[in-house]
Amino acid sequence: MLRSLPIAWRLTVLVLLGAGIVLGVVSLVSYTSARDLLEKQKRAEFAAATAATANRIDVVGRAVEKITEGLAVTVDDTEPAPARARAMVRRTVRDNDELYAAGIGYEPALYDNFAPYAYDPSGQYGGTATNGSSGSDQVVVTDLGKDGRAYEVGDWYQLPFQTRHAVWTEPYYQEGGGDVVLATYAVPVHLRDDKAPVSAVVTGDISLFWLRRLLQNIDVGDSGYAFLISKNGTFIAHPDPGFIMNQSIFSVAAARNDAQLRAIGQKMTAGGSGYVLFDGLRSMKADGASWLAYRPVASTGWSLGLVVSDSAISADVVALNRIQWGIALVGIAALLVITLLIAGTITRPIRGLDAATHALASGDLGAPLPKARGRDEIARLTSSFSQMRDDLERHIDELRESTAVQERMHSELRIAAGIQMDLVPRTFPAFPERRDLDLFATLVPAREVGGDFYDFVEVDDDRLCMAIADVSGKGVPAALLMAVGRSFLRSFVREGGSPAEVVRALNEEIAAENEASMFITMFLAVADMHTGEVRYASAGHNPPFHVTADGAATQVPRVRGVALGARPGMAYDEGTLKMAPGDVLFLYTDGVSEAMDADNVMFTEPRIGEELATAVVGGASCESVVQHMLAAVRSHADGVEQFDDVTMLAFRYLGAEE
Amino acid sequence: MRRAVLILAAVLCAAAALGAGLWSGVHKADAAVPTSRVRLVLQWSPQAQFAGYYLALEKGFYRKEGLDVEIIPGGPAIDSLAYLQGGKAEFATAFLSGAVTAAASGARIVDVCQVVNRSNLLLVAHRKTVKDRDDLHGARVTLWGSSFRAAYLGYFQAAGVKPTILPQFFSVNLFLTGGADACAAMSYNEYETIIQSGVDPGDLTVFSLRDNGFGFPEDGVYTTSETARDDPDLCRAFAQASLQGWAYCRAHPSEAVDSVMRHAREAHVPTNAVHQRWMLEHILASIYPGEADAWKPGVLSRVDYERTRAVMIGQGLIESAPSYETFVEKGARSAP
Amino acid sequence: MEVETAGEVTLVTLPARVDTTSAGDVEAEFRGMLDEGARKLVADFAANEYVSSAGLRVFLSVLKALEKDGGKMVLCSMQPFVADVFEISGFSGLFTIVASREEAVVAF
Repeated sequence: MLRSLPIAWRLTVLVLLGAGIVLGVVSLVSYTSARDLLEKQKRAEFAAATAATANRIDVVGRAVEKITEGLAVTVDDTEPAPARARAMVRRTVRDNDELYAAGIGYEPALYDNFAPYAYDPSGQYGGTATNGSSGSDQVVVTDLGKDGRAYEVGDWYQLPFQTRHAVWTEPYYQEGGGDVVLATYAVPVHLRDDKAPVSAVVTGDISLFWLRRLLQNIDVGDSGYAFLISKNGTFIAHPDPGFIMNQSIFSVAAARNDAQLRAIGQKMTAGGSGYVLFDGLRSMKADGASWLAYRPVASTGWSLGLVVSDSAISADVVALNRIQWGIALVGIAALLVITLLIAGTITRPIRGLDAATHALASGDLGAPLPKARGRDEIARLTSSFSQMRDDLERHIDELRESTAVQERMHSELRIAAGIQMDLVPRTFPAFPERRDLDLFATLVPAREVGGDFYDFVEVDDDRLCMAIADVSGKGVPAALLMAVGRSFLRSFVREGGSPAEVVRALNEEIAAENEASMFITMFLAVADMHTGEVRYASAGHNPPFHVTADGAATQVPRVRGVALGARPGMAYDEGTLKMAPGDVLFLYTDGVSEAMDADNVMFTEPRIGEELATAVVGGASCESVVQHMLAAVRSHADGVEQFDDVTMLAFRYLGAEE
Repeated sequence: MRRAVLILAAVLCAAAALGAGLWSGVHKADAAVPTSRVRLVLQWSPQAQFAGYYLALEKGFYRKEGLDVEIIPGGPAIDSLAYLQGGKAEFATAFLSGAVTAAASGARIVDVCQVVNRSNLLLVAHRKTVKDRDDLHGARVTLWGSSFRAAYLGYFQAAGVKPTILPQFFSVNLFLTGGADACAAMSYNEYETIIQSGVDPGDLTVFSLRDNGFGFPEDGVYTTSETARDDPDLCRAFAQASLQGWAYCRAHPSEAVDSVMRHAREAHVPTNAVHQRWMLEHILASIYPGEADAWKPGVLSRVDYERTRAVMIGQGLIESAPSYETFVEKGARSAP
Repeated sequence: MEVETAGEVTLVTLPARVDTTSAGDVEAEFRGMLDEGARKLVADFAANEYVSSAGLRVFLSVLKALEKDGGKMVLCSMQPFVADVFEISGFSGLFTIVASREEAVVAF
């Protein structure tokens, strides 16, 4: 399927696929490692912030413990002097900003329900005042046991009283209403002479208002928050004021049916530290994945929790990832453009070549080729193509030329054949009104015209001239020479010369201008119809056969004579023979005697004689004689292509006409 | 005197209603009905334990009975029966054992409506130190004040264990911090508080007094003997309206919890809706009898009273107590 | 075609057939020799069986070119058939024809 796409798109798709995969892997790896790194970092920051804040709270807790214990140490009189006791608690509160209140709860039965208590409604850490004024003069001293109030029922008294050691109480609302939430450090004291193990409980109270402010000021990002829970899990500080004192981490877990949250609460109240993913604690409903870092406040036994939403932690990573994806997309887009451009530099010349090919194929060799730029494969292809085009052009021209040449040649041959055929008489019977002779001749030309000819003409009433000739060479020149030869022959014969004279004159004419060294062999005979006497001359030609009526075939005796045209000034002899009525004179060219079969075996002259003997017997017509000889030659050749013209002339003397 | 006023008021109200015809809407067509102003003091701070009374007030059940009720919230500083005796309230809620103790000391109080007939008292112990009843021997156990201790002491005696009793006031923190091995708890209150302080039920051993034969009725509505004698209709009316309030809570628990939360917030009582819901459900279960239970809401049976009195005398908490007829107002008595 | 030189004489051994197909090559070779200045040519017909009229034409043409430059051509070792061809055509009178190669070499 990919194969069917254009190269530019295939390249682009593959490159983008490859790049996309690489990018994707790189992105994934870098995202996960960045996320892990960021998370670790955030966790560390988070844990550090939690630890720092827990420490700050712890510092105050320890300060309160120290102060209270200090106060407890000074309470050692056997009999508490009320004035002194009151002064002590006042001074303690005045001198220590951390304290909201301090008190001494004496054992009610032993010490007459005396419980001095000093508190400062304002102050840096105390009360509901927002401005920090160290208002020493605002300290109020009271007696918790006034009017017989049973102060000993409070946890601050009972717990140290029953357990004999100092304790931080759970936070509680200050008596008398209002929003002041306090936590008390209570130290049991044993006065020197007392029988009871605990004589009094010395207390230091801190107001938890400042805690809320402290936690509000912690930087946990826009969506983060902090909370503080007591040893029982009750919220001391929380972004939702409605949670404070009313809910515990366990009651929220119960309302949500959240077992994980309950377990977290147990870990926190057990004094653990941790970092956990949970469903958030901002409200009664689960509010999305959040990270909780918690640490104990060692002194008071509380636990501090800092919460940050998971999305806030991963916000940085998500932003980073988005940037990465943005870059990746831009990169891929740029890659797309570049790839298409590069692909274009390949496909454009290819398309140009393709178009040129089409043009070339349709015959337009002049079609413009794309320019070969540079030296890369495309450039080489283009120049090769151009080269091929030029070669093709040349080749086509050569082909045209040779075709033209062949055409010319063929037409030449046709012309030559035409000339040849035009020059030999072909009407038979040749002399229908004469009864003293029978004459038949045939010329079977070879494929390439050989230039043979025969001719016969009445010299006068009594004499017939016969000639057979073989022009050396082939084609038009041979045909032309034959034409020339025949013309001269006719004209010389008409002038009345003897055969020898005619031949000699012919030689002079033909040898005169003979650059090509062409020659003609010729046998010329003049037969007298009265007497049957035949006078002949030969210019290098095969001697014809004289066949008697009873089948004796002999070759005519040779006479001196060089082929016509070889050299001027040659002498030619003349011969005579006598024909009895019924004798046949058989003229032929070497196309007959030298006709070859597949083994290059020639027909040979003796064979001609043999065949003639058979053909002539019984007074067969000259035509049948010639046909017989033709058949014999053909059967000898047995399908081998005729190489030379086969020319035969048979003349039978029938006796003088009465 | 009051009775005459009441009758007159009722007649006038009926006449006005007939004369005016139908009056739809939210208006309560009882403006012309003369009402008695009564004060109800509760035995503790606002919580679902008293939901019925709040709803009876809000839903106008008291008003329908011709009562204009003011609810005085209780708390650690307030003794509801003392308020009653001191004339600061006409009705008061109180624990049965507390009322019996007061009556034994000469208080002239009468039970007009026994609301909670089933005991909700538990003894909750750390499983680590107390695995079974015998481990209670010598264990440090915190118990509420004398009037609440009767059932526990009877149980210990019957079980043959002698724990060290420490006082328990208004928190279970001594128990939670490990200063005590066990504590007294109401199933509808302190038990849930303990769980919501992070202690898993699997870490606790819980003894139910009821399951061990020491369950006695608890909350009831009391008035002075004088009021009961002089105005039994008032007492009946109050009891009826109160029970209607409880019936409404049973039918509309969410609304009841909302009402309770409002009162709690007003009184700056630290609590939450989940805790109050728990409390309401358990209180209702101890008000309304199940299929196997024999009691009737609002009625204190003779058997239960006799049993309670017997245990208290047996534990030496009281020397004697009034008779059933003296203690229980006629409308709250069981069938003979 | 085998070509030998014996002094000034160039001896050419003709192929088995000198006909229309081979006549052109034979003529070209002879012409080449003439161009190189050969004036005394011996054509050895020992291996030759057949000469056509085209072949005869070649010899005539070479003879005329040689004689124009004052050269001479001798034919030798003809087989009977070929000798007869030369006889009939009368070319035997135009060429010096000897029986053997040795005689041809000294026939100049």
